[in-house]
Parts: sequence; structure tokens; C-alpha cells
Amino acid sequence: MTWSFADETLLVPVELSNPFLDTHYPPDGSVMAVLDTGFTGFLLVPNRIFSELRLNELKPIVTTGQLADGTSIQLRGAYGSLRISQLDFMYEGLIETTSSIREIILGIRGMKRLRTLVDGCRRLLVMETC
Amino acid sequence: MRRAREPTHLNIYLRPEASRALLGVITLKLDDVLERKLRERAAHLYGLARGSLSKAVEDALAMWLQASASQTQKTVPARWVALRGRRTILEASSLEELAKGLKKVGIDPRDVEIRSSEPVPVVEKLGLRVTRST
Repeated sequence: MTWSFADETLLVPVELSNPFLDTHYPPDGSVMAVLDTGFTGFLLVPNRIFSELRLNELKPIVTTGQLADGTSIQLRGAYGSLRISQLDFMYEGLIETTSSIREIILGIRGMKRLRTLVDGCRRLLVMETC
Repeated sequence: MRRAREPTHLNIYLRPEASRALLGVITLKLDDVLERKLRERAAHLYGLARGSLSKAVEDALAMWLQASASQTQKTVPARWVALRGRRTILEASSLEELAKGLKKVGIDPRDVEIRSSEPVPVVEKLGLRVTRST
């Protein structure tokens, strides 16, 4: 599956869910997540999405996030699912949030079962499952 | 009737370290076509000097081993558990299965801790897209 670069950013359409409380984000269709190889985790989402998924109702897993300037912030997380329908791909992992997150960020751990090619020549992001 | 030609036995010398006295020798049987291609390629890359064939095979083996190392890694699938205190209430091979299991036995998922067999990282690197500012 291929997607074009959007504003020099690598975006992937994803669907998120909390299988324990049967919630989905977005409720219909998909939402774009930024592919960020600088983030080592699974998924980062804004507080609002974390709440809409009702992940805030599950017992939280607290971790430490290291910012690019070397300082740290606290992250709150709960386990949930990531789906990329166009690839027939589903993966489960720790979805985390903190107040300063403004977009959905797909990290390296979320790409564990994906073969990803960034084709700068054609400005395409190519993904397949592996 | 013409007999098929026996494959050529090639003695390939592999350099272990600096000492020539410790060269490893591997005897290979190659079919005619592959041998011809190998000799042509070796001559093209390393000339006709003695040792060029060994050098070519050494390079080919190194590339093959490197390619094998970069093949898809098989990961052990994660296990998921619901804990109450330190006691495991339920275990499953996926979150979805765990959620269904909890529902089936009438346990509210908000009352248990959900954990994965994959350890939670102590520190996540957040990259440049996350800042401290709110």
C-alpha cells in the first residue's frame, strides 16, 4: 500500500480501539497518524483521544518519556489496538498520552510487523505487512 | 553416448585473519554455468591474478551472510494477562481474546491490571514532535 507524503510528513490512516470497553477512534473511518522514527514506543495520542477511547478508565501504566532536549516527562498509558485497514493489519500495544501531544504518533514499536519504505524520489510511503 | 561433464571441484581459500598460514580451504562442486559466470565475474572485478577467484567467493559469501542476517526476525507473540494484585485472573494470546474472556467471566476490565509479556520500557524516547509545552 502506498500513500503520498503530506506536507513533508509521513502519514498513515489508522483506526484505534479499546477492546475492553469496546470503543473506537474515530468511530467511523480512519484518522491520520504521523509516522515518527524518533519515537521508540507504540502509539502516542492526544489526551482527548485517550479519553474518547476510554483508556483513561483502565488502570494506568506510567512510563517516562525522554524529550529531544534530554529532559523527561511522565506518560500515562493503557493497552489498546491499532488497525490499518488498507493493509489488513492489526497490532496491540501500549497507547500513551501526555498533555502536550497534539497528534497521533506511530512509533517504532508500532511498526514492528510492517515493512516500511520511504521513497523520497517519488514522495511515497510504501508499507506492507511482514 | 556422451557423458555429462562432472562438476568442477574448486578449492576456495578463505582469509581468516592476517596470517596466510591459517587460510581456511573449502572445496566446492559447481556446475559449469555457475563456474563460468563466477570466473568471468572474478576476472572482471579482481583481474586474472592468483587468488581472484577466492576473493570473489569470499565477497559473495560475506554478502550472502549479511543478507541472511537482515531477514525478517521471527518475534515471539506477546501474551496478555489480567492481574488482580499479583494474582493472574486470566491469560490470553491477544488483547481482544483477553477482553472477551473478562466479559465472559463477568470481570470489569477497570478492576484489573492489564499487562503484556513484553516488558514496559523504562524510558521512551519521544522524538522531536513532542515538546514540554502545553
